Amino acid sequence: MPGYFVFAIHFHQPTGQLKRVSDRVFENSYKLLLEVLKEFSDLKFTVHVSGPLLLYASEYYPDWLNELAKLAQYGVIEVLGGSLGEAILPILPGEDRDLQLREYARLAEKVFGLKPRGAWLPERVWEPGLVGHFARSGIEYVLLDDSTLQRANKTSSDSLYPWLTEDAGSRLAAFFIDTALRYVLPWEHPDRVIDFMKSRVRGLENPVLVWGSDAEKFGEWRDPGWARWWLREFLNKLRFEREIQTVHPSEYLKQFGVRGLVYLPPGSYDKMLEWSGGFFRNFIAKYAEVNNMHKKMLWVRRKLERAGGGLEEAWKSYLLAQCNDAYWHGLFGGVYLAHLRQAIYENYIKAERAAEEAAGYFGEEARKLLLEDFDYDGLDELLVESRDYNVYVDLRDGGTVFEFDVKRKGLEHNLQDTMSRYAEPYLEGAKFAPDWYRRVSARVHLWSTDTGIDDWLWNTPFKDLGDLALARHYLTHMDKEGVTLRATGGYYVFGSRVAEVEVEKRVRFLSNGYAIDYAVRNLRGGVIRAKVGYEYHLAPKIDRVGEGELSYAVGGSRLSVRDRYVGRASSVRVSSPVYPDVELSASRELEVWAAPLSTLARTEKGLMEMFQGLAVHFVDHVELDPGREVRLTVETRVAW
Amino acid sequence: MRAWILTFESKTTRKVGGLAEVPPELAKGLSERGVEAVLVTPSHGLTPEGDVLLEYRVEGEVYRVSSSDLAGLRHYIVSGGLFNSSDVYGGDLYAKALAFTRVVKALYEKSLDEGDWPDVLHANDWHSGLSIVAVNSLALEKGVKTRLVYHVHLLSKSRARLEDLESLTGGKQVRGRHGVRDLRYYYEASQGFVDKLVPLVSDATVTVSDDYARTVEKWVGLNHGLRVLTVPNASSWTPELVQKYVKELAGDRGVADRAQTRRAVFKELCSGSVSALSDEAYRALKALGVDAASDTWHQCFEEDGDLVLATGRVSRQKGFDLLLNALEKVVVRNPMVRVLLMTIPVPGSESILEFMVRRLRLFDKNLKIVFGHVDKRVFVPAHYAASVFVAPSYYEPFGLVALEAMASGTPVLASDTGGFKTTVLDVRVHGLRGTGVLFENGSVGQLASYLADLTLFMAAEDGAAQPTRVPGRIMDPAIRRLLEEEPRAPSIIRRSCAHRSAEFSWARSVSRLLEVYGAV
Repeated sequence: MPGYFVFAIHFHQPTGQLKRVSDRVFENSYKLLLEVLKEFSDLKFTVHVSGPLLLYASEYYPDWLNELAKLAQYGVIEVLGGSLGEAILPILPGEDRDLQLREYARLAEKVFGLKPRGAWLPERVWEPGLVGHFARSGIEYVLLDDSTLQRANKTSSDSLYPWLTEDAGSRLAAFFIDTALRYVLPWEHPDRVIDFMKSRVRGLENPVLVWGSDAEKFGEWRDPGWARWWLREFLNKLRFEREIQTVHPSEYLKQFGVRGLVYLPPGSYDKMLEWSGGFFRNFIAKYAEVNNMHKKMLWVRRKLERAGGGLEEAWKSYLLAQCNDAYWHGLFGGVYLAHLRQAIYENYIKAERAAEEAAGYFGEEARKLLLEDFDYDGLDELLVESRDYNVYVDLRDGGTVFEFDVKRKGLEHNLQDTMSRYAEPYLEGAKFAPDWYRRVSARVHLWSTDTGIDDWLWNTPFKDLGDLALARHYLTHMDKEGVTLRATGGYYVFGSRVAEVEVEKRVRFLSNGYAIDYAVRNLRGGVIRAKVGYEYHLAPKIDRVGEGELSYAVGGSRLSVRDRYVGRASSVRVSSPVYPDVELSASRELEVWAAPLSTLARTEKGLMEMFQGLAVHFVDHVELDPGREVRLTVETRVAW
Repeated sequence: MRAWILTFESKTTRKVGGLAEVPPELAKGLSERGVEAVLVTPSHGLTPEGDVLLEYRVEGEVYRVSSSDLAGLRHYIVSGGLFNSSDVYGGDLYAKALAFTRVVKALYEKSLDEGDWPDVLHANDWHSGLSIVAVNSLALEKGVKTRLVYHVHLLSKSRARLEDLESLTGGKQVRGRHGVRDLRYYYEASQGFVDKLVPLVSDATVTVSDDYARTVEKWVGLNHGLRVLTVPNASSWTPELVQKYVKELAGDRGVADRAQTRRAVFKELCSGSVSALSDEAYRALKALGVDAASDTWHQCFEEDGDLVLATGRVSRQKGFDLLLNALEKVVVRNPMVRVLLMTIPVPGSESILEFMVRRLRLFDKNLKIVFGHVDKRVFVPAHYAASVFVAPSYYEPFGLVALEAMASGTPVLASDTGGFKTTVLDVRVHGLRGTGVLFENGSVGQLASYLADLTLFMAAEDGAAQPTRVPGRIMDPAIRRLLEEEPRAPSIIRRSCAHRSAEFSWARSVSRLLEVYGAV
């Protein structure tokens, strides 16, 4: 009796992927794979195309998709279902899980002409509560990782069979992707891979060995010529192999059924477990930016729910914004990819605006000011919403602006979608200090007088002599034009508190942005000698379709966002080829530091800087006696 | 038009399987339509009569081609050498296929010399398909047009060696889907698999059903963009023929009352052997505790019931394991079910036989199996007596069995594969014009559920005698509704079956084949 082999190829490009990247992957990998599948149409393959990629291919590669659909109709490939947005299902509200599965099924049925029976679970992030959602959407099986099964006290051989799992009376079969096979296929010579496969299945009755991984391993990760050779060699050999026979998962299930009942703990693939510390949701806790997107999702969902029916496009945007890639980080990219975060906000904001319009959210009001625990940290944030933009202020985190959404049609963008640098295992040993605060806007520092731009950018310790940057701010006053926030703290020299300091931020709402009137007061104690820093970060809109460059104008110069600036100026104007200019303007000329805020990414060529946003610091040299104050107004405006 | 029909077996000479039926029927039909059709086939141990057209030496052995008229059909019979054996597919089959090819090539060369070459060379399955490669290069070299038609009845994974093919073609080029190329090009494109290679160098490739055409296209490789055409098979079973056998076994009453025929069939099964078995199969069964010569326990039902019939070779392809695995679920829903398998053991089927015998012992009330070729005297009436015929094949290019069952007025529960998808009209879609149900290929659950439903449905034919058998026990709403709306539905569907089988005639197949010849 042969051993069976499920060859499951996962095609995915995230929501917001740069067009040039998607196009390159199509040329290097996806087209190559299609040709190989056609050539080896006598074998059986399993294919999953993620929702965002299906939509992209429908628009840009319809022929490729039609050919793939033909392979499905011929029974060469078994098409796996999934979620429309390739979302991590366990982190979604229950109804969204159903919706994601249902909407993908609808799309897949339209494209492939058949209803998938199995599903690809994005990043194989499994929690037992998913069973009912899959069962309700007609999914009979999913592909998980053998590590998930082994954590249910099963052996390595047990993972060569599908098992049935149950939750609240619903049932679902699970096949298990073989980790060891994933590490050799396609990296070892085809002969060795086949020998390995044979050794895995030998002596067992009807085992099924499952390989499930990214399509890009063929042609994108290594060169296409090699991939073509490898696949042809491997598949040619499989044709002659009596001990291994390709099978579709549903066919296997029909014929041999499941091995028995199992209760699976939360899990994913081995590396994901390592990166997340064993539980995917840890990413939400670790990265404030992930939490921000996740909670924006929940906030927008509330509005969509209230808006009632007939918002199909808005819901679609919302579901696509749940695309997993920017909600986590392993070795590469993830939440550190600015263009992915950008697309997520863009979609949420589109959905939000549509929901607000449908629900008549603002009524007669020009804006809403809400105190809500937006980020689920137990304390309220200040949310200012108008038809054209949102400004969210984190009172606990230094009274900073952590979200600035432009909601105008066609301009949907979160200008505050900037990124902080976190400690990452792969950065250990590198000359790198993680950010000690979130890189957002309107944070006030009392820098020591010898502080320079690099100290600020790269976190030289003991330079901020105040504790206001992280201070809890209180909303102390509100009127038609704006709100007033206040915080008190200290100015320290060698660890001793020299002066008591108050920061006041009067946030005013402009037609095309917001202004903050800052006052930094020496309430009592000694003299404050410091550089008062007003820190801003901007996420200019990245051109995801073309190759347009970002730039900024400051002090009479036009610079690339890759360049830095130190000098006297009163404004910084940021330009994007796909967006109106955004200007930060101070009420007087002072020292300005401007530079790209970059994260460090590990690549084959060593550590590389990745642009996250433009960091702008207005720096005021002060000597402030007790009872004195320094004032500055900074406006943030979009030139629409 | 002159057409050579090449086949490795023919019912007019030596028959082993279903292939033996088709080429002679098509050749006969073509002749009736004015085509000079000649059946070219090996003798397989027969001594052909007639003129010797050619003597040709292959590997030191002398082969002769004799021209004979058999069953009203012109034959070129290749005898000698490897064809002295009566075992059609035994021995070195590849060597036989090569020898046949060399002789056909020589015959074709002779026809060129004599100026009477065939307009069409129509090869059936891979054993004769290699001739297409040889004739292709020869015709190309000579600038002669012979339409090369490859007819796939059952795909094979047989491979040819490049050096053998190059020797056949004399290292010359061939004309194929990708133009005139060295043979090596097409060889590499097909990895030497004959059923990948031959379609690439044929003018047309045909098979027996639309669904199987897709399977052939897949096998050849969808990268080649080959479109495989369909010429359906036909059955020689007619309702009249069936009734003739029924009358012989159960008299006129048997024709009027299928229950009577059923009881007559059961009686035959209990009275002794009704089948012929090879020695090898006999010994294999004996080792499993079944003495097919003297035992009857394996084929004799103790009690009457709803007869479900399945027939075919003992091979995995036929999906008998699905049926036997479904039995438990069927029996729970309809304890009266009596499943009868009439199945022919073939070499290599020992493990399936063992499985069957184990199941026989488990389901001793509801399952019986006749091993070996069953005499038509019982075989045909068993079809007539059945409530339902089951064809659970994993794949089936055409599936003549479905037509035979339908000709007997018996609805068919078949897997939705191959020819069944064309021949069987699902009652859930076609209502009273339907002839059975198509279940999802490989699904034990569906097979069990629909088999229970269909047996209950058909039992309503004599429903008055079975008060507990009410439509309410039928699970599928569409099948249940048929009975609720029309109490005579079972009889009507039996008539629909007979009508449907008549739609698959050899005349129709020949018309389609002529279209293919003409389109090439």
